[in-house]
Amino acid sequence: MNKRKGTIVLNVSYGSTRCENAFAAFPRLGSSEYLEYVRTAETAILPPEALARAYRQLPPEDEASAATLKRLFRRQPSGRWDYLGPLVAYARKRSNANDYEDLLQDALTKILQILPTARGEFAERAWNSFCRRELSEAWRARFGRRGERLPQEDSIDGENHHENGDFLPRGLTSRLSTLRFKPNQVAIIEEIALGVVAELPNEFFRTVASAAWFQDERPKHSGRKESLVGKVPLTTLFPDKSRYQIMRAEAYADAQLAAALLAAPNLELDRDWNPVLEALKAKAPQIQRRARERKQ
Amino acid sequence: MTNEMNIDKLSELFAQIERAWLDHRDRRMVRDLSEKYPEFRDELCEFFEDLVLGPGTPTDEMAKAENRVSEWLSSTGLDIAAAAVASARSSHGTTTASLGKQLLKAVTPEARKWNIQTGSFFCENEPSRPCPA
Repeated sequence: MNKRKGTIVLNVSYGSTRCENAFAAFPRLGSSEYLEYVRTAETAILPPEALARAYRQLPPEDEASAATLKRLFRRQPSGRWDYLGPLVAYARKRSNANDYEDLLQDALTKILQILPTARGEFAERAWNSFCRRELSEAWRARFGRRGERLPQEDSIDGENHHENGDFLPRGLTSRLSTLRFKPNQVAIIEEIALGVVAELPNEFFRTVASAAWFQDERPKHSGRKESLVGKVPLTTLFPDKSRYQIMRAEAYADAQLAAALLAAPNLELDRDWNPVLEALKAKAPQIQRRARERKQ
Repeated sequence: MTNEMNIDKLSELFAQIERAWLDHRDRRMVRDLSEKYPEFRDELCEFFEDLVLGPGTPTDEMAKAENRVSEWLSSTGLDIAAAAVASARSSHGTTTASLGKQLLKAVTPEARKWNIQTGSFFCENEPSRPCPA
């Protein structure tokens, strides 16, 4: 369906009923109702793909075009981006503090430039994938395909490094015990976590996840065995794995756990859950960037 | 060239993961694709993490940088977008909006018919194909 003033249509396959329905729910593009809707509708019912599709159909000089674009790139006073969260997460990992702002700006410039072109059709299908692709392009343009123009990495002993296992949050179980749940939720959560562990691809992932979730404290990723009291670093358990690989495995397991919790039909998540999800989010994105740089 | 192909291929895989998660809360797609394309495993898993967990709490420096980027977007973003549209028009006219303008010129008034239900015009000889007003 096309809602542009007057109407035109492109034969584009969308594939997502959710986005298609959201687009169909728009008031007529360019109308005052549309403007109001785009400015005030909750993010949850306004997928970015539908906004991108509307933006690409609206005449560029139209007020509605500007309002749609502003909504796509909106940042709340709290600092939360309506539709750029995954992009920002990725940009943080792929840059140092010195070049983060430049990289993010480069990526957003590319997104703005590509959006109205044929290549921008991808944004109508998968906004976050589109943004990531353009950030990757921006990164390559700035640092070279293999990162040959990357600035010298900060010293590993620098004050801002996050690679010390002590920096990481406490284990998930101890974190959960401080929260208020409905009586049956702890059992459900543990069951979900065990289920996620069982589904992880191999023994290495399962051990890392179990150590992270079912011990009182987050495990040490590396360190001198004799200097640790009662804790064996995971690099000792897995001598063929680097601490970067261990952290990557832990991050992947955490994402799977968060996804499982969010998708669980029998869990009622409320504000008490924010610390849990924040704990999962807080872990070491910089490590992943370094791991990636090493790989390149 | 290979890099370009990899980015395009990877983007398509990302899109599958994104749609599976956002539309169906399906967290197994990332695992299935990682098994099928082990050469992209790290990238796929990392994308899924960012999709589900988002950016988390930024450092002070990053928060300040994002403030500046947000201000820059407000002041300059529309100008960049307008320049991009003008550029797209002058090259191939590939935007949907510009295609719409071409269609507006191409279709004569007698060849179209108003559809009351959808509020749009349709070609009489091709009822399934919407036409411009």
